[in-house]
Amino acid sequence: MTAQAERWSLPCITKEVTLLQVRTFAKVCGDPNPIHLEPEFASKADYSGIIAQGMLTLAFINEMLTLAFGISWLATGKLRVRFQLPAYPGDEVCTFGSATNGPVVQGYRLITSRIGLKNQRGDNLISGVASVSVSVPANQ
Amino acid sequence: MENKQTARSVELGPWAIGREALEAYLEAVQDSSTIYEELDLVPPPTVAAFVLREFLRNEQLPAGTIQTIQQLQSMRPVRIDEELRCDLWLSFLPEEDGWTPVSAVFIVQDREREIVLKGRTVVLVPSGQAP
Repeated sequence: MTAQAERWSLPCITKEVTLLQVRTFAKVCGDPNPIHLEPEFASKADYSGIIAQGMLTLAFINEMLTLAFGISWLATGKLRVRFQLPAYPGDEVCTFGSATNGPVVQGYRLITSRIGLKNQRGDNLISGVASVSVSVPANQ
Repeated sequence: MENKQTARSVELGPWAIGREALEAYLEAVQDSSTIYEELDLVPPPTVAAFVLREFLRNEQLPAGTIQTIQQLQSMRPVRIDEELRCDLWLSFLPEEDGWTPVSAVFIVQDREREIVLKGRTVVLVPSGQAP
């Protein structure tokens, strides 16, 4: 067990959300919801335009976690996020994360991260927590 | 608190996420990481997105539904082309501010019925339109 928690920042993944991307994601994931496809419907629902799918924006966070933790994320990852505000086509969004080392138990260290996604205005679009178990060499 | 009278379970699948589907997904989300191809694995949110796809097909959620919460827990990596099936429990929560929250708790299993991924999705359905 470590005597002191160690913290570090996860890599920032920056993306521009595009209309084409939202449409392509809707097609790939079979989501016909007009809130992602029809500007008139979205404006009637009190949005300023069509909004990106939550799972599309979550994919940006997945990319950050995969880059940071590799196979450990794919094999042992756990997350809980809340979608707070929508992302719109034209937004530039950026992932963020702050990881903290936990104790080593039976050769695995639990790393917990506060994670999220912001837009170009600094609004939190997604916030939550992720954790992974990372194998630790016996001499550490 | 969940309304037990409006809870029900749904079985989805079997289905598989093939290489072509994964490539289309990664292109859509602009993820150029090579690890998936190198290790023949599917990212956890991709599995969840395909669970949602099956869920949407099955339940025909109304237009205007939005997602508010996603939880995921990988029990092991999911391989490309692996046969998956999913048990999903739906709960319709009390209406609030013009929305009905619908909670979908799911477990994704492999061919041998071993759990590969667990998760929970909460969506808000415009009131009066819950399936």
